Order: sequence, then structure tokens, then C-alpha cells
Amino acid sequence: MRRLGWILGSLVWLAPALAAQGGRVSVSMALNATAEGNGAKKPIVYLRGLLTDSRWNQALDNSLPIVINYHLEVWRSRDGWIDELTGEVEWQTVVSKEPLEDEYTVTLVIANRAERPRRFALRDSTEYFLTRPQRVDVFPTRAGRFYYTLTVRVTALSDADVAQLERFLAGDTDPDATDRGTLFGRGIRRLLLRIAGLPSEVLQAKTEEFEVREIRD
Amino acid sequence: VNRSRLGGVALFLALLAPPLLAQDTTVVEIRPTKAANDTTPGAPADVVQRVIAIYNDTGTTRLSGSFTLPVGARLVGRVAIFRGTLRVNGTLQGAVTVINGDLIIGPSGTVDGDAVVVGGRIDQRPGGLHLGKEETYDGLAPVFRQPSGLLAIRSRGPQLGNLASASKSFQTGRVTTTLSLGTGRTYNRVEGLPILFGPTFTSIGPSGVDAKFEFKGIFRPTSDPTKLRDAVGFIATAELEADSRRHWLGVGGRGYRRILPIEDQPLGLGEAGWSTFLLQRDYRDYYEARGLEGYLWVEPSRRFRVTLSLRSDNERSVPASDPVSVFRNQDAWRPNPLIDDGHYQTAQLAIAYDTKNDPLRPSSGWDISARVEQSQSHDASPVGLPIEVRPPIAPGSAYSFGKLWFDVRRYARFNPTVRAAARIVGGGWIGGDPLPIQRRVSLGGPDVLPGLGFRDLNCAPAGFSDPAATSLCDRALAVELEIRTHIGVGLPFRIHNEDLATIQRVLGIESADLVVMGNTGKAWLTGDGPGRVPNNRIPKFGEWDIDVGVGIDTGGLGLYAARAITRDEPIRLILRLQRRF
Repeated sequence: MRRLGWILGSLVWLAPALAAQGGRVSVSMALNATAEGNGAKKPIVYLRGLLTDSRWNQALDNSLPIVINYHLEVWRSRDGWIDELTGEVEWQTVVSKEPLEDEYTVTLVIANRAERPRRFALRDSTEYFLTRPQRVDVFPTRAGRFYYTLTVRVTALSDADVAQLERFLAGDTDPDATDRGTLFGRGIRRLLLRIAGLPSEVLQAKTEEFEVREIRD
Repeated sequence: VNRSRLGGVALFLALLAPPLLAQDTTVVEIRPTKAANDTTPGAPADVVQRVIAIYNDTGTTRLSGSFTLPVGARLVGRVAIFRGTLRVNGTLQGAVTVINGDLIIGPSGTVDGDAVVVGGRIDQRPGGLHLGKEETYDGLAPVFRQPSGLLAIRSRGPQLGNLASASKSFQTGRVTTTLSLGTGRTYNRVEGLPILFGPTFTSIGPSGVDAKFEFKGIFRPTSDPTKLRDAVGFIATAELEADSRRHWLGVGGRGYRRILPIEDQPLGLGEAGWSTFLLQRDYRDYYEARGLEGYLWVEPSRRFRVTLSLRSDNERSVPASDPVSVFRNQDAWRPNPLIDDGHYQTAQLAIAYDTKNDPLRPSSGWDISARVEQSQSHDASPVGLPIEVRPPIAPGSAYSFGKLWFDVRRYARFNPTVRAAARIVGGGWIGGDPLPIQRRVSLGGPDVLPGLGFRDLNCAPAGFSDPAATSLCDRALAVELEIRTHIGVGLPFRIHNEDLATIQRVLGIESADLVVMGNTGKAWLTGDGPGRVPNNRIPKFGEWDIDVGVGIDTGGLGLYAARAITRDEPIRLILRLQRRF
């Protein structure tokens, strides 16, 4: 195990020398310019470069839908002490390509409900749609200093996951119910997905801190 | 002059246009607390059957793919289209069926029949005419086109994670029956890869009480030359759960003949299975339990559950078999220790409280589990242990003991970039006679105290040779602290070397956290006497083992280096397939 560990360690640390960065998907966040009544500012999420990243292009070309899972958390900053998680929200965007039609479909899933899919004939149109800033309707109501963190997981789905996704889009609100499995089962799937060459990426972003005032009636 | 002025205005507009466009067209409002307005109800099964019948009818003009009826053109008769957009700019005289596509009636288009759209929408542009009825279902229809050109219902294939399993469900009245065949989802040196098979019956009760009966046969493919265990086991469970909307109360019973781990640490079920299968290192020990159990659980909220159970077991020793492993297959397996065989009656209370914000990568919340049990036996056959560990116990004498085990984890974020996690895990004897082998504990190994070797703290007296490295301690307590921060560089790197890229893909390296950890723990024998710690005390902190370490957690894979600082041990490298805790 030690030898394997050394090999892995070497790979991790040598990777930058072997690598060349290309066009990569990225995520960032900003605060809305307009403050709410209590001074709070809503977060705005920017996703860039998804379809200019060759890995995701290839996934789409191979008819593998891409799921972008956004997990946004609201934190209260407490200097010198542990910050407090005061809220969290999650939503997804599903991008797929119908090879026969050469059409792209983008579906926004909010609160476990899928919006009507939007279809695009061109990759550029799809990319433009995906890179629109997303202003999230969430902000703290208590007084204090706050900030937002965002974790974006981008994954390409397997054929089986496609079936699961379609089941969800067909109205099954708990598509994961039969697939929670154990770590062993998830591990097998993960390994197979990796061997199959399916990409997966986790991106993170955070905002600067902002002050929220207490509103008195 | 006019031309230059016009050019200037055009240039000004061109410069101004992007910001203007950006202001009014680009921002999307995400309202997480509200469901989308236009949700996608799936088409009912009868509607799907109906549109398939229409499409397959010989009297239907079938189109596959997008189709445009141009201006001035006229199409008469029933039309159906699959996976495509039907744009009507001319006149369509007849009913229209669109399956997994859209119907767009252009400004000059006319449809004078009924329109059914499944898996799409009807878009009637200004000037377009639709004279019939409309019926739309947004959810995609689960259909596919056969080589003959006809449509059929698409059956879902098995999921990738369940390739090694199969199941079939059917409904009879209120009862759903599922026949399944699959693996036990782990791998160990006693059973190998157990195969589970059998039916599950579930019933949604009319008064909000759901019932489930499940019988799982367990086939163990590895042979046992000692014949101490059977090749086949089983678990039969019957359970009633209150409230179909959210099960908050359940009562049930089960009978079983199954293999159980003696301790559920140092590694979890999944990692222990991988380690066994790949590296021939099984970090757990096992025994066979044959018995009956009744239980009651209450779940006042989704985050909190209390379970009370009573069980009567015949607990038996089982030997290690010789399952295959990828590496070190020629090596002998670590023996599985003998336990104190006998019939045990056990009452157990367990609680679980989980407020983590993310089940796999938490950064906030609590994860608490604890269980306390009181057990007795009248026919136990205690294994002879060194006198320093346990005085001899006469076989068949009345024998009772109590045990507590807890695992408290706290996740917190210090600031936007630094997260911390703390864990206190431990427990052991709390009363009665000394613990039997199958309830004893130990520390050391890849999870808790990774700077120490496997079961370095197992309370074996000096000179006691035990190739099974049996856990012999009465009590154990450990504290783990971990600080992690996201590494600024992005992973995976774009690697152009195909071989390296393949390795990187298989390993699934994603974004990485830098982890700094410190751990301390102690396992000991309790009671009066030399080398023991009094029952009402824990060892002095100066006697505890401490290790520190650093690692990289890449999401699904972690590599850590840890070193004990209270004893002379080499640096240990640990490869983990999940977060430490």
C-alpha cells in the first residue's frame, strides 16, 4: 500500500509539470448591486466555459447529458469563532443533446421540479443561455456579517443515470430512491464511470462578506 | 457628412448595445423555495399507449425527426411525429400527434384537427390557427422506435451500480412484490462476495400503515473446509410503518442466520470490502448470528431516530475462508478469531442524530450515533484468554454484561476557506461480567489513529502471540481533529499523455482539499489490578497515543501521511476511498 501511495503522491505532485491548462469550466459569484431593505445582498452565480471545455463537449457529443448541481450556502461570519450556517439552497441544470436532431436541451430543476426544457439548435446559443448570470432569491434576514459559498458539481451521466433522469423528468420526484446504495456499490459505479472516461468536476466559489442590519418595526 | 454621422451613431449604438442587452436579457432569477411554474407532469400510461397506437396505425402518416410543412402546402390525414419539431406553416387537415417533440404553428399555418403533444409543447405563433382541441404532456414518453419503424414502450435497463443485481416487480392488488438477486455489497474473508436473493412484499395500507415482508437468502460462494458455518444464510424481516407520507414509527421483527462484524471500525463496510478484495487486508473480524429480533423505532424528525430492540442470538465462531484477492492472492488470510460461542439475549437502545448539511462532504452540523446494550447468556463457552485480560469463566455459567458505544462528529467552518471537523468515538464495558470476545474493542489502524499500525492498541499482554490480532480491550476512547482547506489549483490537470490521462480518469481526481489532522486515543482494560484502569476513570492523558498527519482529499480518493509522536513508529501512508469522517 505504501508503494501505491508513493506512486499516487508523485502523480498528484508531478501532474502540474505534465499538464497544460486548456479552456476550463469555471464558476464565480458576486453580490447583487442592489441591496435589500436590511442591507443584505443576493448572490449572483456565473458559470462560464462549460461548452468550450472539450471534456464536456465530448460528453454531449456522446449523448451523455451533463448535470450541473448548484449547492449554495449562507454563512454568518463570527470573527474568532466558528461561522454559522444559516441557510442552504440547491438547484440543478441539465444539459443534453439529441444527436439525431442535433439539438441541445437545457432543463432547470428547482425545488425538485423541472421547468419546461429549452431547446437550442446551436452550441453557441446553448452556451450563451448557460452563462447567463443566475441571481438567487436568498438572503439573510438577521443582523450580522454574512457571506455565501457555492459548490457546483458537474457530472456526465451514464446511460443508467439517463434513465433515472428521464424518470425524474417524467414526474418521479424521488428518482434516487432505489439507488442510494452503499459505498461499495457507489464505488463500483464510480470506478466504472471513470474507466469509461466520463468526466466529473467540483467547483467552488465564495463571495465577499457583507453587513446585514437589524430592521426594527 | 451624413454618412459619417450615421456611422458615428451606429458605432455608438454598437458600443452601447452589449451593456443594454446584458441588463435586460441575461439575469436568471432562481427562486429555490418555489417550484417552477411550468412543471413536467409525466404522461399517464394510458396516454402513452394511445399515442403509440396512433403512431403505429397504418392510417397514420408517420414522421420521424423534425419536419416543416411549408407555406402554401397542404397535408391531409392523420399525422404523427416522433422525436422532432413539427412546424406547420401551411395547412394540415387532420389530427396531429407529437411524441417527444414540439408542435409549432407558424403565422401562416393552420391545423384543423385535434393535437396531442407528449414530451413537448404547442407553440401557436401570432396568426397561426388551431381549430381542434389541444392536449399536452410535458414529460417525455418512455418510447423508442423499433427497426420496423413502429414505436414501443422502452423498458429501463439496469443501473450501472446494480449491474451485478437484478430485480423484477409486479403488483397484485395493494401488494407490490419484488424478486431480487444481488450481491451483499461488500467483500470479506469469511463469505467472499455474498449473494442475496429473494422476494420483498410491500403493501400500502388503507389507514396509513404500510407493511413490508422481506426474505433474503444469502449464498456464500467461498467454501468452509471446517464446516463450522453453512453455505447459505438468510434474513427474514416483517415490518409495519406508520404514515405513508413520512414513516415516523415502525415496528418489526426478523429472523436471521448471518455473518456480522465484531467491530464496525476501523474502516466502514465499503472501504473494508475494497481493501479485502484488492489488497487482501480485511480490517474486520466476524461471527455468525442465528436468532430472532424484535424492534421498535421512532423518528420524531427526519434527523433523529431512536430504536429499541430485543434479540436472542446463537452467536458462533466462523473461520476465515480463502476468497480471491487481486493482489497478494498467494498470501494466507489473517485468521478470524474465535468468539465466546453461546446463546445471548440482548436488549439494545440506539439513537441517531444527523444534521449534516451534506451527507458526503459536510461542512456544518452534527452526526451522532450511540447504542447501549445489556446482554446475558446461560450457556456461553468463553474462550481462554490471558489472565491479564480476563479471568477464566466457567462454561455454562450465568453471564451478563453491558456495553456502550458512541460516535460524535461535529463539522464546522471557521471562515470562508477553512473547515474543521472533530470526532469523539469510543465506548466499551459499562457493567456486569467481563465482555465476551465479540464485544471487545481496539484502536489503531488506517482510520482512527492512522499513525499507528492495525490494532496496535488491542490490549494483548506482552508475549501473547495471536496471529488474528484479536481485539481484547474493555474500553477505548479516541478524539480526532481535522482542518481542511481547498487547494487553489484546480484538478484534474489536462494531461496530454494518454496513459497518465487514463490513470487520472480511473482515479477520479477532482478538486482537492489539503487536510491537516491530529488524533489521540487510548484503549485499555478496566477494573482493579495491575495494568488496568479503575472502572470509574479514564487513563491519564499522558498515557494516550497521539499522531499527526497531513493529506490530500480529492473528493473520492484521499492520500494521507501520518506519524505517531508518542512512540517510535515510521511514517505511515494511508490511501482512503472516502472522507476519514
